Formats: sequence, structure tokens, C-alpha cells
Amino acid sequence: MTTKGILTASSLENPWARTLDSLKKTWYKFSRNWLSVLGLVMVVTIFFLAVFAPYVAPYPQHSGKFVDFKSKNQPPSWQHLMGTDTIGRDILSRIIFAFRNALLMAIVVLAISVPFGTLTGLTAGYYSGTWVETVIMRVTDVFISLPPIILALSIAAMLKPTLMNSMIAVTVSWWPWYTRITYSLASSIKNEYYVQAAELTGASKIYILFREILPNCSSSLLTKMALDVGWVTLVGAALSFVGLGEQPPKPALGTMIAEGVERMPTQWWIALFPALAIMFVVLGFNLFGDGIRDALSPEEA
Amino acid sequence: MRLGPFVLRRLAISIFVLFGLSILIFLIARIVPGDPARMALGPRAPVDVVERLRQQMHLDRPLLQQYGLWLWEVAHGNLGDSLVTRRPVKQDIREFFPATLELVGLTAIFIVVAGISLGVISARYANTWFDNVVRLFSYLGIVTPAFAWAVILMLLFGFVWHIFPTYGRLTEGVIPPATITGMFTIDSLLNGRFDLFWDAFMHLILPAIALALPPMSQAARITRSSMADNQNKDCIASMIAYGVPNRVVTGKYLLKPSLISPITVMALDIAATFGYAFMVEKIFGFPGLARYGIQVMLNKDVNAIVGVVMVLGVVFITLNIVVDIIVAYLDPRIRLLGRNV
Repeated sequence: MTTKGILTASSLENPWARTLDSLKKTWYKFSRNWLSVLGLVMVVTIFFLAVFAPYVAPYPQHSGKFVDFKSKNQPPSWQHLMGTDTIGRDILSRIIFAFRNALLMAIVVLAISVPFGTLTGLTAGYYSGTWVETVIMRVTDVFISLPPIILALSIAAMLKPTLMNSMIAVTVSWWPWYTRITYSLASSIKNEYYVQAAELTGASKIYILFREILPNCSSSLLTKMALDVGWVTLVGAALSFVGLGEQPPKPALGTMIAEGVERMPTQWWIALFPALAIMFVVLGFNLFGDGIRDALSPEEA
Repeated sequence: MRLGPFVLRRLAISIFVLFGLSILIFLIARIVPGDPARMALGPRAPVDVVERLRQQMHLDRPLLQQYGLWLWEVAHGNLGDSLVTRRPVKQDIREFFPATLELVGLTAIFIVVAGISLGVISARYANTWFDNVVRLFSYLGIVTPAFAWAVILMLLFGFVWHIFPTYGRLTEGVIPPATITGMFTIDSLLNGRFDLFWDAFMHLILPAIALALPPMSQAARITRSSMADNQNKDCIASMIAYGVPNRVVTGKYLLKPSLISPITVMALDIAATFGYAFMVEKIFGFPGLARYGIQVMLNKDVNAIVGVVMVLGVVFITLNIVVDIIVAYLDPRIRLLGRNV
């Protein structure tokens, strides 16, 4: 106890010190698994590449309208680590720039669907057995009657093909899954004694929902969010693969694969490296998310 | 066995969901900015022609009435005309859907058979080298999307080993079997043409593997962890203590309760396969719903998109009912008490 400093005198008085201590403890558990740390490194790398793309990419000008027919279709070499595409653009640079939009999309989608899904799920879970639950959960049922990929494809198909609209399409198909997970957590947590105690002492509904129930859902929600950054990237790539989403000449991982597939198998690098890039993103966020799950879950024997 | 009322209730819920889905899809199709009639005819069509099409498509009526008329048509099996191919959407779907269904069907077989057996074997031999290999590969399988697998498989088999064909539904120049179901493998068998069956089957293998790998890995992982959870229960320990053969314990008492969560997940994954099939079909040049789907999507062919989504919705809901019945069979608490556990 004393060595880890989990319960020091200061931490009992100062809530900030307590938060810091619990963060330290979480990090300790997280760092015990080298796969989780590898995931964290991959996630940090992706964010670093996305943020500093213009400085990191070997040929930043290749991310937009750029044509260099002299060096088209070159296999991987020291000059172009992942080769060049059909009009001579460096594939590595384009992948780095594509990370930007992929991450932007994941952040926007989650920033809207997580609060909305959590709020509806909490409400439905707390008022389970009433008409509020019926309305929210039946509407949710309709949205999850199709897998997110199909719903997102069909919504994006009816809108104009832009990055913005593909974000809308993915968001519309993503929130119900947060509603459902929060609902199932909240409807079981509301029967716990501490929630009943808060009700008996006359705490307001808002207090019970956000201070008693929500914190106990947070570890599942955080884990799902970390995993979902990878999955949103994947669905986004699927949309851009069929031509919905970011339009050429701007780089998108799916578009790059679709272009490369036409050149298979002789110019294999055009499709392979963007496909591996998607794999890298999903793998990184999966390892990271699993690490968070293990670190936040209560002690196991 | 009180499976009857359970199925009926489940059916009623599905009809409600399908109804909701139709409202959702219809609303999206109508809320979207842009005039479907104008889009169908192009920017240079004269105003009165566009106006006539608008009337034909009931676009001049109020939204609620439009929905009512549309639902009436759908209930009579009429999904409207495709604005691109100028043919009834139903006819288009009937032409392109069987190929995709055939592909997804084989994929589903791979997912169920390989996923569950890998999971069971790896739980049986937990923490041995076999288990570790399966766990490592299932992780890689899950994080690699189907279209990335498609690219990798195509590279391996198109470039390195020439075992499987990497393009199309049949070898070029081969005449497809007479249409009965539209699924080449089944049609060729019905016609007694085993050479054709083999050709069509070989063309299905690579796309089906690409589609199956991620959900199969997921299924293996869930089956393994679910088996491992149940393995520690007292009832299993006492059964082993009583000397019940290992085969019976694993195959009957352990497998049944452990299959519930993987089956639920697999249903969702198999349905999602229809979405990923779009990409995989394009990569392998497989002429299924994807080619049609992408074409209508890029042309904003609202009627066709709505038609395809409704068909997939029906498929998915049917799949869910089947899964619920299987789960009810596996779990007597659901079957007898109608309780959702």
C-alpha cells in the first residue's frame, strides 16, 4: 500500500491527488501488458503522423493535385518506400495524409454518437418499464436492424459524396449501439443499493443519472470508444472504396485501395500498402482498447 | 416445448421493426436535398417532362401520402423502377442477388463451421501451442478487414500460387448453367453438370475466404472464451467427477450453453457480410449485387437503393428470427419462460 501510494493521507483530503493516484494505478495495470503498450505506441504514432503530416510525409505536395508521369507505377524503393501510384504520387505520403481524414472522421462520429447514445441509453435504462424506454428502445431497434456498414452505405449513397456526408452517414448508424450498451448497463445498475440509497436521500434525477449511474458505465464506454476509432476508420474506408466520401485527388484509404485493385496483381503495392495501413489503424486501436478494458476492469483473482 | 408462441411473438416484433425500417429508409430518401425526378432525367430535361415524372412518382403529394402510396406498392411486391437501368428494381435485384447470396452462403458456412470448431478445439486444448496459434491468428483475422484480406489473397493466389481463380464467377468463355435459382453452383448441380459446379465453386472460394476470415476469427474467439467461462462451473466439475466421458461433457453439456453468444454475434456478422461483399466482389470482379449496388449508389438511384436496403433488411430480420429460434432451443430459460437472458 505504502509503496504504490494508493491511499495516502493527502489523497483522502485532496480529490485531485486521488484522481492522480487512480490514474497511476490504471497506468501501472495497463503497462503490465506489453501488447497494450504496443497498441498505445501505434495509436500515438497514428496521431503523430496525422497531426504533423505536412512535416513528416516525404512528398507533402503529393497529397493533392499532382502528376508526375515520369515516375509513375514505381515499385517500392528507397526513394518511394511504398512505391508510386498510376500518376506518379508517393503512396507513403498519401497514406499519411489519409490518416488525417480517417482520424477526423472517427473523432467527429464519436463526438456526436457517444453523448447522444449515452444520454438516450441512460434515460431508457433508468426509466425501464415505462413508455420512455419503449419509445427509445424501439426506435433504436429499427436503426440496429441493419449492420452499421449497410446502413452507412445506403445513407451515404443517397447524399452527395463528400467527407462531411459520409461522417453523417456513419454517425446515424453508429449512435444506436451506444444507446444499447448504455441501456443494458444502466438498467442493471439502477437496481444497485447505492442508487436506491441516493433515491431515498432525495437526490435529483440528474444527479442519479450522471453521478451515480454514468460513472459506473464509463469503463465499458471508454473501451468501446477506443475500439471504435479503428472500426469507424474501417467503415469510412469501405465508404470511400465504393466512391462515397472524400473525393480524389484528396487521399482516402479506401479510394487508394480501389485504384490499386485495378492494377492487381502486377502493380501490387498500390493496393497492398493502403490495405495494410487500415489494418495498422484497426490493430493499434484494438490492442489499445483491450488494454484499457483490462486496466479499468475490477481486480481479478 | 412451447416454441410456437415464442416464434409468433418474435415474428410480430420483426414485422414492427421492418415497418420502422421502411419509414426510416423512406424518410432518408425523401429528406435528402435534390429532386429525384430531376436527377433521374438529367439537368437538361424539359420542365414538363420532369413534372410528369414527379407526378408518376407521387412526389407532388404530401409526405405522409407519399409514404402510404409507396408502402402500398411495396406490399404488392412492387419496388418501383430503377431510374438508371429503367427496369423494375425487382427484376434487377432478382438478376444480381443470387450471385451475392451464393457467395454469402458459402461465407456463412465457413464462418459457422470453422469459427465454432476452432473455438472449441482451442478451448479444449487451452494454453497449448495450438490454442496460442489460434488466438494470435484470430486477433489478426479480426483486425484485418475483408477487403484487405481480398487484396492479400489475390496477391498470394494470383501472383504466387495459381491454385484458385481470382476473377469472375466462371472461367471466361464457359457458358453458365440454365437459370433455375440464379445460383451457379446449385443450378449446375440441378442440371447434372459437375464440371460447371466445380468451376463455379472454385471461383467462390477466394472471395468467400476473404469475407469469412474476420467474422470467423471473431466467432472462434467468442466461442473459446465462452467455453472457458463455462468450463469453470461446478456442474461441469461434478460431471467430470462422476466420470462422464469427456466427449459427452464437451460436446453436449459444455457446447450448448457456450454457443449462445457466438451464434448471436455470428448472425450480425453474416448480415454485415452483405455490406463487405460490395468491396470484395469488386476486387474479385464477381458480378453480384455489388456491381449493381455501386452503380445505383453513384447515380443516386433512390428507388433502387431503397429496394436493395429493404431486401437486405428482410434477409437480416429473417436471419435474426432463425438465430432466436436456435438460441431458444439451446437455452430452456428463454424457451420455457420467454425470458430474455
